[in-house]
Amino acid sequence: MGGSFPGNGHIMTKHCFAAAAALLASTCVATIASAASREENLAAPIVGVEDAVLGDAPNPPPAIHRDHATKVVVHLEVKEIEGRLADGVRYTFWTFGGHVPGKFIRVREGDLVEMHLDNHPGNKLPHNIDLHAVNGPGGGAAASLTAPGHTSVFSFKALNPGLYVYHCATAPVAMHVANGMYGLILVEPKEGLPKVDHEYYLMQGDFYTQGANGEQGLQPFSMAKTIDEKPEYVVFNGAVGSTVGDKALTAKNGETVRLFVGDGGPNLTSSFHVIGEIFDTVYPEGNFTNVTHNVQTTMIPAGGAAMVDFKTSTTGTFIIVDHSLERAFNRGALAQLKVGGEEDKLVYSGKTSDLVYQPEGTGIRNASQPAAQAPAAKDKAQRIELGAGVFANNCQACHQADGRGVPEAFPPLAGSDYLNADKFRAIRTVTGGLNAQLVVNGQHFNGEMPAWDLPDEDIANVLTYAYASWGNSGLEVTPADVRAYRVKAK
Amino acid sequence: MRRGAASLAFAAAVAFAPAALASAAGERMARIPAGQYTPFLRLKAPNEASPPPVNAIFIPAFRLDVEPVTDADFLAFVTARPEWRRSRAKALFVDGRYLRRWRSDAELPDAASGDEPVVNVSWFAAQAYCRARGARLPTTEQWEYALADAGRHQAEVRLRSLNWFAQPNGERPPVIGREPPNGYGVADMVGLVWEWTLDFDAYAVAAESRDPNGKDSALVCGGAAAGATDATDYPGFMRFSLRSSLKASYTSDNLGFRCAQEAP
Repeated sequence: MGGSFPGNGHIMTKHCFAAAAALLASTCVATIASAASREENLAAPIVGVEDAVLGDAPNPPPAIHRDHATKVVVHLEVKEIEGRLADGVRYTFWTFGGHVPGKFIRVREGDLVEMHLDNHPGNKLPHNIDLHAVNGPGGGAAASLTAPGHTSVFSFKALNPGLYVYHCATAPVAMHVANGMYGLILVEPKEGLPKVDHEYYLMQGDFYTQGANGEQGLQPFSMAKTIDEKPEYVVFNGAVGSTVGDKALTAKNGETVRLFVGDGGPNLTSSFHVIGEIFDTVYPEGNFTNVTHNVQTTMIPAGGAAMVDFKTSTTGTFIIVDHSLERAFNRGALAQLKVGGEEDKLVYSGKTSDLVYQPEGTGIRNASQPAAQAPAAKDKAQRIELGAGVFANNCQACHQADGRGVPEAFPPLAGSDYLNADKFRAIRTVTGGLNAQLVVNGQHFNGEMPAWDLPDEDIANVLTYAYASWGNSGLEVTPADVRAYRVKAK
Repeated sequence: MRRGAASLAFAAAVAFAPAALASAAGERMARIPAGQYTPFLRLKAPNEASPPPVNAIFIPAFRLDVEPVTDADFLAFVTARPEWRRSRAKALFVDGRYLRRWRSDAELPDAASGDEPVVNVSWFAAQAYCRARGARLPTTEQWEYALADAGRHQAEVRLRSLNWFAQPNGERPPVIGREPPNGYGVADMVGLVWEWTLDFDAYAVAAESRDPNGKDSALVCGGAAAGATDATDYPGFMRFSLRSSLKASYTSDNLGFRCAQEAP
């Protein structure tokens, strides 16, 4: 019971200990002492005033160490800004504080929170804020409808500890949320949270662009797709690849990690999962009293949040996904946690044998971008540039942004003898898929890659990009090459 | 639609009598014929439990400016009516961003801005301008009726509106006259700027837009949008929520106006 998780035992309640001795251990959890009652929080005297320390994802602000309630002044500036949604895809986000998700707000139960909602004068729209941590009409929205160039102020007493979503609630609400207007507010219990080595902030959201997934350029919002609940992108922290590669979350083996995870929606729930990790503790729906242990996947509703804690047990790259998997692998809901330090072969052996197994054949991976919309490169430089976008949208999840792949799982492209030896084999591999043992740079892989049903132009661009990157041979692959050598789909 | 008045007005100091304003404006108003119109929102009396059923209402014929009022138009107005210059306008009637992009009381941002819609004007200033022309701001129903255009090309109108929201802010407003006029002969109602209406605050009693039982609010959304006649008309919601957020002294970088008159 929580034994692998130092630090979460010291605040068990006496009641909990007694029950644990007498009853089912699994029903009584090491958790935060029961919070103060709402009446106590309402009556808690306010001592002093301070400006809130806000956090930009993936970093929440530091824990609160006060032993009393205070007045916390929060300034959130609403900005409508253009930014990156995916490689080559721009979008006009509406933000609480300049980024998606909005600033992470951290207060203590009993605090008096004074919210200042500043709507930047350059904005087109009125906005407001509904904090799920508020007891009051509209969660604050009724008091905060704010015209561009104006500021609204209201205050609320943080009566209920928990992890809460906040969002804009101006009509049409779904559009304001779909454009990125959500964030998390943590109302810490007065005892604080169990200490961990790393705290991170992730928030999932679905995006609805007029162009199909991967279509380049500034993409306006699609009202029709929003109403149909058919997003083109489902992402963590506001963009495809926001939290991968050198922006991945990090920890060392043996350290404890806490993820504050919210789902802004507007429409999709999240089947939140970290591949290769088991959550030691989940605080479902952001509540601190009925926690659960040893959880694989936790459901996070749109407009809801959860807190998950786990201790890393070995090294490697751990992929964070919405386990409704099309969203992860086709729409962007994928982040990474990189755990360094010393690996533990007892916890996880790595591959110990390598046998050929023939499944029924490779599947065909339908790429999301229709052939008619593939942009045509004018020269090799442009081919490389366009290929980088194709790579990021289709290949990077396995072969990694640095082309090094994942040992024992996905072969490297960087300095790859297999790739550089034969460009026509490369064309056949990408277009026809692979289902065989192969040796790349002396390492054995059980090659299993789907066939990519991408246009000739995209295949040429992505291969030229791969050849131009990571110390590879630099040769160019043209659409004519691909046309001549591609494996035709059945 | 471009009038090329920029250079003339930029030179400023063109004495403008209200009568001259009215006659110049008369040439670029469109006559909107009378007709039936189903309001986007159902208005509910304060003592009623729910909004009345949707009924089409009759809109008598009226006249409406073909284009939003431009910087050049407004410069002529403040030249003739110095009490509406930026340095003199009363704080009761205009907030601190009134005409904030102008270089001075009687100078536009530059010669090219004459054909841009005037922005950063309050309701009071806009209504004063229209009155000087013998006109007034259109009512919300008149404005929405003109945009509805008897149902012509509404999908395109919504798309143009949504695409405007996707355009990054901070750039200059686009000039008037790029889009062809609608079936009534009125142009640029969406895609350039928001526009003041005479009774913008009639729908704006409550700020919580999702409350279907709000005592006073007609702006009931909540996604279910119990009070809206078309829950899929996002731009419609946005126009009404923008109006709800305003007070008559407010000015905004993306808010302009046009004038209306009774039809002869």
